[in-house]
Amino acid sequence: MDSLKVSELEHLTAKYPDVSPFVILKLSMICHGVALTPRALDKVQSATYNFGFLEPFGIDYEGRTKDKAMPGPILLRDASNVYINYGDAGYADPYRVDWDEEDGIFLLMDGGELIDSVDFVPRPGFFGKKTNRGVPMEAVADVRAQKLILTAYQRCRLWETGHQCRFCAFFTSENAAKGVAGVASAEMDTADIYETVREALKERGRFSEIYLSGGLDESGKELFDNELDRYIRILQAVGRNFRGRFSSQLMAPAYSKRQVKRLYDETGLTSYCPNIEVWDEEKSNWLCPGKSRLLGHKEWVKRTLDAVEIFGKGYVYTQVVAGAELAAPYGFKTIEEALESNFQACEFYAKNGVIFLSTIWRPHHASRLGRQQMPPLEYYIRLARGLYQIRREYGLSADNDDYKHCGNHPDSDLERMD
Amino acid sequence: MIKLPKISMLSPELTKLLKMSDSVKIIGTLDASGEPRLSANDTLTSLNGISLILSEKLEKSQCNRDLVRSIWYGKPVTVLVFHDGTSFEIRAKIYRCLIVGPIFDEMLARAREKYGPDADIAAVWELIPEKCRDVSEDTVLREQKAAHPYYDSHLDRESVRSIISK
Repeated sequence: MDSLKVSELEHLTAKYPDVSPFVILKLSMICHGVALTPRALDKVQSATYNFGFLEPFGIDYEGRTKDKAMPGPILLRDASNVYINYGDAGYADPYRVDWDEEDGIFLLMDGGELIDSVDFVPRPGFFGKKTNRGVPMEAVADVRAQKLILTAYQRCRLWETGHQCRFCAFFTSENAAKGVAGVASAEMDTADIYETVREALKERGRFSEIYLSGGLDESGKELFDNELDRYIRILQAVGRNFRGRFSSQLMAPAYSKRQVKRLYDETGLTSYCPNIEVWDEEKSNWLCPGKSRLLGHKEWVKRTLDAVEIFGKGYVYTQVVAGAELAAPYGFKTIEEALESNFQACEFYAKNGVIFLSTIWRPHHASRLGRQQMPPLEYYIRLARGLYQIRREYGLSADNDDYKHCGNHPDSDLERMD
Repeated sequence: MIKLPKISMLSPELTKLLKMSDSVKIIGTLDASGEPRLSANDTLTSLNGISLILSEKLEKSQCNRDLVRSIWYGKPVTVLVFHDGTSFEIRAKIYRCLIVGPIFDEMLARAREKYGPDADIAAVWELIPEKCRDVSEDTVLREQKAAHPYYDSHLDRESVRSIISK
């Protein structure tokens, strides 16, 4: 009997021939989830795939076994990666990855049907090592295929007042409460970061982008000043490993022009990404109450555009958590309204030299929205295709956030043939 | 949905040619408008005697973008390997693109050994041959002579004319 997921894939691949079948598969895997069979789970305990037990974003996953480590993201055959919430109990009927001992490959299955062969992002060489202070390096940095991910501040202060974004589940795990790195402070130490990056760069040809983010911290003389100082300190520590500017991105709140100028002038950063999260102002106020209260939607947008004057056209990004704008009870009622809103946003930003990207909302039990129904797969396909086409018309290319340097944006995956 | 590729060994003659540093290696692809494109690629080799491996230096090269199209839409590519009168034409499917892992690392190491420590590569491609033809001049000539013995023999050629004494 044909599986529903396979029928859906075949139908949508035929309906959208201009969208890569790998992008459609990736979206389907994110929507339906992926679980590992016991054989696959055993295989990823090996030194090649084992990512250990630390989870730098501190997300509380219910279904993970305590005695088995999880692998990194899944790599599809076209080298795009799929970031999966392994073990999350919110998936009703996930795909399965199995290990085929005879051929020595992982297989993506739906029931008894073979979908494709897949692999996992290999464990980087610096995992398992410790900094001089004794901090495990995998607690300092996470990785994708070519991206080194640093989380500067492993807490978000919006949670202290209950004003966190309603879709967010970051820093909700038991480990996060203790401090992900096993240290008391939520703030990462600059020496640990310098040493970890230095160690990571010893691996030949592994990393081509450094990405920095963290939980929001509004404190300081001017709003976000302490957080900005922290990011500058960290980027300077990272920068000691390089001769000049290095391919990098900071995902952070929308800073004032003065603050963005400091960021650019005092560090080697090449791109900046203040995420709007949700474009429609009313829905944004509901879904991101903390950001709205601190800065407001209009000011967030204005500051994002201002940053182009400093970082240049195509080096300022912003992202939406696509699908959250359709969440109950106050989200859009139809996907047509949601698409229109996102396309309007993309066009507006593109005119102003900003790259507007989508990430996929994966409802999570630890977020305030809880486990809701995701929008249909076709919504995400239409969104990815539309955003890609708009940016292309404006000559924008998401070099810092493409399949190689992030992998969480199906719309930028589509740029590979351009 | 996918049929895993059938695995078969490359011939020893082709494997030898692939390993020679001075053999000519050409990749034939189709671009977005369906136009045939050619590019030389001296990295083409086989690491396991089964699949073909090549590295692309630039993400945005014509060949790299065409290979993305090929893997997305299951379009085959053509490979020509030539050395000193011996040549093979291979029709291949793109199996996978690699941007990390041991094969990527091996190809990057080769690039750096050849071009220095600052050399870089954008991606490595693994191709599975579906059809391989010996298109060496001698072979093709022999085949044609067998099927069409009188083609391509102008009558003034020494090999055709009788020797007429003056």
